[in-house]
Amino acid sequence: MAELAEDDAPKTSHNVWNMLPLKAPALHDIWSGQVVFFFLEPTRVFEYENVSRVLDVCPGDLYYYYRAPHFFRGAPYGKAEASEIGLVYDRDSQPWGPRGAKGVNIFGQVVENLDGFARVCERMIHQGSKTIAIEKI
Amino acid sequence: MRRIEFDLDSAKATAVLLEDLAPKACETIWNKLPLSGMAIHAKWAAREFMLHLGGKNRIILEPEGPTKESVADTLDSVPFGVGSVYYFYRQAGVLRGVQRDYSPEFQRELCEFAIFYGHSAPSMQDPGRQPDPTKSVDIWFATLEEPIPKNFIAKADALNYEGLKPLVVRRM
Repeated sequence: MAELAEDDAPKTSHNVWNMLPLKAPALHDIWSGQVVFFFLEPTRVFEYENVSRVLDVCPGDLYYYYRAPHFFRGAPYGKAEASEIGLVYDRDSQPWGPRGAKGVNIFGQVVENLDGFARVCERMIHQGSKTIAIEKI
Repeated sequence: MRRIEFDLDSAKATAVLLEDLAPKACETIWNKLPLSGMAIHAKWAAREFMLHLGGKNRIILEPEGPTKESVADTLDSVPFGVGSVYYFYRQAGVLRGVQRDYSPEFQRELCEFAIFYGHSAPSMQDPGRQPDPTKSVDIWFATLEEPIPKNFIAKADALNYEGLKPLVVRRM
């Protein structure tokens, strides 16, 4: 279970809340350490809100990352605008990508059963992608 | 010039041993081949996968050859570039706690081959491989021959989407 950081990132929290329920194929991150993430459908992408973009994250953080069009020159990552939601499940993690550290908006924090969730995330290294579902409670 | 083959779930790439840079490592590794196990994708170093070397496959080597620090100013010879193949060892304690996503044998102490099949992280933000010659050994011992076959790259990427796959490293 997670709580949205409505005071610190009101627009992002609001946008994510209005997308719920969400279901998507999640991947283990290959750049950032103990992080799993999923891409938002193109129609749901929104630009960063004007709040702190942080480089350092903590276990349990939920973050939003936005990539503007043409951020990459093309293959293998593509030129399209994109965004992702990431969940940091353990320490020794920092959002990174092909062009270095990624500043992200923290919009929530896992407040219950992070350990149990982390065990499933770790298994993704061995088992590959898993479906993630996020819903309102 | 000795060459080796990486057979990742039937997708194959060849590499040249860097016998001029790391002769002892190349000799030891050559004599250990063939080696096999399950390839596992990196989670810090980007488009890299590893073969953990345990049990009868365990290899312990002394530091040898260039490091990313020693060639930092040499633009045409940068380890961790696409195609670099490394031997890596770390003592227990280099990473805090245990790596629960690795099998029990490798959760604290670890030796492995690391195969960089695509872009690596710009400055290798891999907390398990921070340079500490007293606690870890990094040896650049081979380079994949170019072009790296597309089906090999695709299979390596699929480790991230589909999970572990069998890998055999053999002499050619």
